[in-house]
Amino acid sequence: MIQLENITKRFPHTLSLRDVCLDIPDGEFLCIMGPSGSGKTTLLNIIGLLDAPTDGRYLLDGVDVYAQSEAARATLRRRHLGFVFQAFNLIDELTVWENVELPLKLLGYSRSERRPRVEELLRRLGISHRAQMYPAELSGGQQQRVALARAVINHPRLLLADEPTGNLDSKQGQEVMQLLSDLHHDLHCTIVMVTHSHRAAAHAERVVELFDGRLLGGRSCFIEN
Amino acid sequence: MKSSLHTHHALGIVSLAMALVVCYVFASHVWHESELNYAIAHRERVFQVEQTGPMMTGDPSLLTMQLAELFHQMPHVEAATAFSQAALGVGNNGFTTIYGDRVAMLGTVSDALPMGLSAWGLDMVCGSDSFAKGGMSGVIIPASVARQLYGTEQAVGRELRWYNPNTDPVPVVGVYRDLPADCGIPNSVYHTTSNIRFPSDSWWFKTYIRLDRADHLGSVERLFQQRLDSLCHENPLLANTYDGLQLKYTSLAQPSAVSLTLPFCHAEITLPLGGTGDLALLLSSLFVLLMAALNALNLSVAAVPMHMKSVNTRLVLGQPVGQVWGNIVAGSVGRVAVAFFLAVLTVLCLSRIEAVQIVAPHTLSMTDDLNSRLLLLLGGFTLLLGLLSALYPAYKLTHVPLSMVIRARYALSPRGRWLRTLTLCLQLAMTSAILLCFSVIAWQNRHVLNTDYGFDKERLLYAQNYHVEDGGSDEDLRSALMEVPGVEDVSFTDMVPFVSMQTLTLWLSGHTYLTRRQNAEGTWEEDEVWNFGRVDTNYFHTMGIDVQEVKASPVPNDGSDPCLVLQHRVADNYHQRLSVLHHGRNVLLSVAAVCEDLRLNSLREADTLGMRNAFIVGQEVGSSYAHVMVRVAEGTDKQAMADTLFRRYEQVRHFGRLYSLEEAERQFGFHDYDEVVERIYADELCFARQMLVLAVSSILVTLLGLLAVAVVERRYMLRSIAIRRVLGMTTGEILLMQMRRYGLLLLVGAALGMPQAYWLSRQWLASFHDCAAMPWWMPLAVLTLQALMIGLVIVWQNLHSSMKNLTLAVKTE
Repeated sequence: MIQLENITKRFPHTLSLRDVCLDIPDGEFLCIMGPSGSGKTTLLNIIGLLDAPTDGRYLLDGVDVYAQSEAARATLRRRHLGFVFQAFNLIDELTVWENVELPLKLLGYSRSERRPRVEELLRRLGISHRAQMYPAELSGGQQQRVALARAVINHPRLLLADEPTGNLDSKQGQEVMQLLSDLHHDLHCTIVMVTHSHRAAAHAERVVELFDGRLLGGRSCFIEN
Repeated sequence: MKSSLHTHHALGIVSLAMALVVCYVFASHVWHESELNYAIAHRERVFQVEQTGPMMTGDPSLLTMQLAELFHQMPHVEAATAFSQAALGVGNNGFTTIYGDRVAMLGTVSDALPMGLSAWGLDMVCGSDSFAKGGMSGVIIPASVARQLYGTEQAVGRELRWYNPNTDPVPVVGVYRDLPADCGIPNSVYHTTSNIRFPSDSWWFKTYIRLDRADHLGSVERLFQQRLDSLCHENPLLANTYDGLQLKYTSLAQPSAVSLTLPFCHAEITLPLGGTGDLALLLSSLFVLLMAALNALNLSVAAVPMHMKSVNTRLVLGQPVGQVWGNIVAGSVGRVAVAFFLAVLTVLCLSRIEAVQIVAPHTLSMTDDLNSRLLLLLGGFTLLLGLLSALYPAYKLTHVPLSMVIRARYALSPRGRWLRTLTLCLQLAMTSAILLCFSVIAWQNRHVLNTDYGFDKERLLYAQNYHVEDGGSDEDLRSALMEVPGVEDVSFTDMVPFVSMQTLTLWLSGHTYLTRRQNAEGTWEEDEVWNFGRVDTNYFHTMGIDVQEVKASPVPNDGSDPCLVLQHRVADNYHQRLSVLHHGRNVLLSVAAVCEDLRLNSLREADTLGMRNAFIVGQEVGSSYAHVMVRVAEGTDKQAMADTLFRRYEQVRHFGRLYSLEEAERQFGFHDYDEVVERIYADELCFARQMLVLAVSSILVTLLGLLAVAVVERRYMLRSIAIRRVLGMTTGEILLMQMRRYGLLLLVGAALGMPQAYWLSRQWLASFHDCAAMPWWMPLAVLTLQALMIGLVIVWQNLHSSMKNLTLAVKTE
């Protein structure tokens, strides 16, 4: 599904990623680990089409996505990607319900189509009683469940999770990881998760490690000129 | 973050200062205007009975006096008196010069009946406010005239004489305190004998009555009607003094045909805008201030999330809550104080700029009694605003659980967001109302200034109050002026076709005659009061008025055979001849032609005397002409031509002593006819300028408020927009979403504001005879302007966020 070829990312004073090559098959639950500053989030942002690599190619289903326009990438994000952030990134002026149904609205679903899906997902994640509350009124664990619900409501093919348990205590973190695993099994989506936590990583099918922007033990994919 | 804080405070201060200045300028204007209204004592219970009539053989003062006497004897009437037309400042009875120890032109003279002037509130300095009955003449003069003539206000017993060697000296019987300038009532010299004669062709008297209570008006009206009926029935003298025509008049003068109204409302007398205009100005300036106040409140609410963490971190570290409150209140009051002093400085500068008078004719000086009180009021309001805008943030910031604030990011509560949406909606409503009002006023002014008046005003110069002394003639002047290159024609008239009682154009010099008309079958139809303008034979060509001759006998060109030229609007029912009652005898005039209508757009609905139906062409009827009209060639520099014509006039004129004196007071000269229009519409144009200033101010204040909130919300909006982009929205879609949200607010605001503005505008337009219909696209144009304004802020906000790196924006807390 995903092929990263010699992905390099340079910032003004640092080289965040160096020639990263990675294949992620369809339906895999992949975990990326590594110390702080190793480039995990940068790699996740590139995979999530939020940030373009300085060098290299990113093929999604064989298509070089960064060769496409920003609008096309926005469409891809809308249709096929879901995001879970460490800081939840819920929209504060929207209620839980409105936050969760937002991706469906963007996809043009009618109110009657959205309603059962949101209801079902909120019930499944155990936050249906908080549907009319605002994010600021929820605990961290509840906010992350809302974020998770928003990420999977459109049945994405690829779910990206950046330290999903980073702001949660161990119990809440465990619950969120369990939910993530369940969703992976139920929805058969590909999950790429970045984490520091070995307990969280234990839920993944494969773990890769980044160090100083290099993928340890990854395959070489230098392309000859 | 610090810079954005400074920016939003600066924007808030500027918008508040601007609103304070606008409110000061216009509230001061309206306050001064309303003070003029109240300059007349007892104005709320003084009513007037208007009587007008054609020239007649008898003495109308008899009837006038009897009417006033009738009122005098009625219950609830404290006083009653009557004055000739000069009491309202329109013309005078022919005396213009007072002759005391020396010759001076000191104002107008009104004939008055010996009833007591205090009926309408003259405040006497010395002497009596009433005249002795029994034939003896006397005058009551204003204090300023007494000082000027005699060096003292104690002038009772002194004498003065009209500028006419044949008249006897008249004793001063009373001196009254001057009324404020511009209050609508001139400081006339009131002169009476019990035997008033009317030298002009028409007469106009006002009877004033003062009631003990205003709500007794209805019963007084009913009683008056009964007694008048009874008087006419019992007193054959009253009925028989006049022939059939006068009887007609007597019946016209019944209360059913006269109106009792409150006379001394300055806004109604000198301002064509009426009370509606003042109300619109006051409301609009208060709206602008309210918008700035809403901005201040809105900003203080919007800034709460920004301060939440820092303030509560201090609380966690042990800062007392009282100290936090003190800091917040001090900061808020300090900011509004800066705005207030900025406004004071601006007003100080403005009060020294003469050009400001085009929108604020009254003084802006802060030492003025009214203005200093206004300043205090605004200062109090500003302080209150500072305190109010500190209350919500102080309460909110200190009443959130510390653990929650420290742990999580804080956003505005739903109620806070609703409050902000409401204030924004109100602002938009007020802006749309002011913009619509201004648009309607500007549209009407454009209509009256640009419509076809029925004559070619672009090529006209005029001189008013032209006089030829002994030895000269109109023809001398005409020949002299015609020699000037560029002059196409010269004519003389005693009317200018723009007359409105409400605009107080002092050129009322048409004539009111009682007429009988003869139709095509030769039958004489019933009598009518008609107004005529007297003109010479060149008038129509000079003015560029199309004339169609309808009879075998054309318009005479030698001036020897007076005839009539009807305007189309009265020619539909074609009249062959009119019998005009003039100086007690019927003059039979033929209708020689029909001309296009003169569109008297300056007329207000309340004007009745201004309409001119016909012209009398020729010299026979009435005295000499008063005005000179000059038609110049196309492309002539009218200013240069006016100077040339004046020099030429000086070479041929024959000044008499009277007019030498008059010239010192009222400069004779030739003027561009556009000045007439501008002078008549001076109040409207001033009003339009005032509304323009208010409209621009409201736009700026709203824009500054939106920008300030946008600056405060920039970080927050950046993240909110970025999350949406992460979820797959494009910048265009986000822009559309925002547009939809603000568009809805805009529509709600317009729905709230525009009906009020429409109602106010209709009230204002209703005072015009000829008002422009509001075009259908005007509300849309107002909406579009507002949409552009909002769009500007939204685009700025979105461009700012779309230029940010998406990953950084999402990471930003």
